[in-house]
Amino acid sequence: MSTDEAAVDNSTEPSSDATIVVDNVSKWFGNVVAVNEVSLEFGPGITGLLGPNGAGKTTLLHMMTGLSATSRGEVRVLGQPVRGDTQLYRQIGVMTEHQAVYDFYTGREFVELSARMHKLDNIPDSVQRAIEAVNMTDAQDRRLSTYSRGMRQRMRLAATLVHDPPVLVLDEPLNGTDPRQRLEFHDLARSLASEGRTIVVSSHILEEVETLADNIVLMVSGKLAASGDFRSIRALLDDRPYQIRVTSTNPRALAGGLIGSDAVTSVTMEDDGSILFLTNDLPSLQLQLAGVARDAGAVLQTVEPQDESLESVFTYIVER
Amino acid sequence: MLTVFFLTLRQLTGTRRQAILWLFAALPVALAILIRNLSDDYQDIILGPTISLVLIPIVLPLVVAILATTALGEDVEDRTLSYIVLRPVARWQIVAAKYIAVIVLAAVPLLLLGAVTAAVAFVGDPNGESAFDYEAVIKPILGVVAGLAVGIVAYSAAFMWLGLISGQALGIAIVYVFVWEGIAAGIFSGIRYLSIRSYSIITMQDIGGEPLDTIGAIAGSQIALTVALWGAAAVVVAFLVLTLVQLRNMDVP
Repeated sequence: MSTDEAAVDNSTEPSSDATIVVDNVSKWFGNVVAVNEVSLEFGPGITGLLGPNGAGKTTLLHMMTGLSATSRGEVRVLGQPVRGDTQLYRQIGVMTEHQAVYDFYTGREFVELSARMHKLDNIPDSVQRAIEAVNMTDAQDRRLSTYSRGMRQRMRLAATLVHDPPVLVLDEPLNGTDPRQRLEFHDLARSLASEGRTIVVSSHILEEVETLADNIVLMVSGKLAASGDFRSIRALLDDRPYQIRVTSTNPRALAGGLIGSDAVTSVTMEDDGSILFLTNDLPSLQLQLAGVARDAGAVLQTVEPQDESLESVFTYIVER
Repeated sequence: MLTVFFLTLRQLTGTRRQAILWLFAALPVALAILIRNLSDDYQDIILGPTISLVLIPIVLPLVVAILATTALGEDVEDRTLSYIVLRPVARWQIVAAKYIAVIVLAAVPLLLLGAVTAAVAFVGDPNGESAFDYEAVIKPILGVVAGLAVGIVAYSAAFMWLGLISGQALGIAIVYVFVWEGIAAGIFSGIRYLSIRSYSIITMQDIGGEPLDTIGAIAGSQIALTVALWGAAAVVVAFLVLTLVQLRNMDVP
């Protein structure tokens, strides 16, 4: 998919391999619109649902899994409306963002609970397989209350996988995990995806999904900002201008020396004496900044990027 | 359904909660034993202050409220409800399993210690009846147990629904018990038709027979047993349906 193709797709006709179809879905709480007219399709493979905190990812995932009703629109999983059809959960594994568990259970009992609710034929084997998949065999007989956050997440994942579902929806599954556990999760997710499963993983950390997801969906302020393969979205991000705030002992000399530079899109003198540079070529600006400061005899006190937060990155995509 | 039932038993049988419930439920027994040892007129005092003014209006609804409001309310509050509703378990089975678990856990201390309280009043009564005389001993004990049972099943349904719809369910339950069933029912006699406490007292008195007349007189509940039982049944059905509808339609946190 090219950069231009990494755009919002509002088509409502599901493609033939779409496992989850989000059809013009909105959700509002009173006057607050949490999700606004989102249409999406998810097929086999790993899709990363990205967006800053408060973007509406969890609300969307809750509607995709039937935990919440839509205010408008419909979500279908495997061709069936997901809300109200409890038997559909035989085909779906959902891991919510909340890390609360039943502390009085051991890890194994917790996974068994899920297996029993699914009325699986061979509960011991299914439980063992799920626990081995998340590499928690050694700790399976300890109480959940003694687990670290990462261990809890892995055992929750085991409970989500125990019935071997073709569709997995995982909300911030890497919260609380250490780097090694993240790598293990990546391997497991890729292995599950290679078997033809549809896996949706949400995260507010871009880099977390970068090496995992085949496709990503970006949400900002309840709206679908972009969707497509990761490289296309990444290209959009790399094209964005950067804001750099500089304070120095001679701001006028710095601003004057750089105002005609090709690396600078605009220069703004702020009331507090700092200078705000807008640039599409950050490395060149940094080089020129040092040179101009040296020539002007100015001391650079701070050089701070202003728009590195994920929210500002995503907002840029929306406004673009 | 059994899985959810046993899960709920585990959730509601935390050591601290059970200790509070059993201590609370044992209060009428302690009072009854104390009264029997201190007063010659102990039977009337046990039936009056202990059963009519402590066991039925306070201990019964509060023990049930502590259990029932947390049966689903705790799942909502600590965000574990998704572990149940995201499984292929019909919503009615969840409601039924939770409801039965609450009844079982409330019934064990309340019926056991309620029967003991009644036994303290009636076994070896001052009229010299034998310890196992049916009319004078067994029947009133059965009456107390039956009345408590009616209260347990009705309060359980109402308070379980309350726990699902409000984070302040226990407080609301207490206000309902003391304001509606206590103060309002004392002022407006028609409220007895809409009072679980009345259903419980009428059942107790009707099944327990003459020895329990004092209870009905103190509580002022004079509706027919059939009205009480139908009323209790209506409460159970109505609140279980409300719980089911709420569970189906709510946004699960």
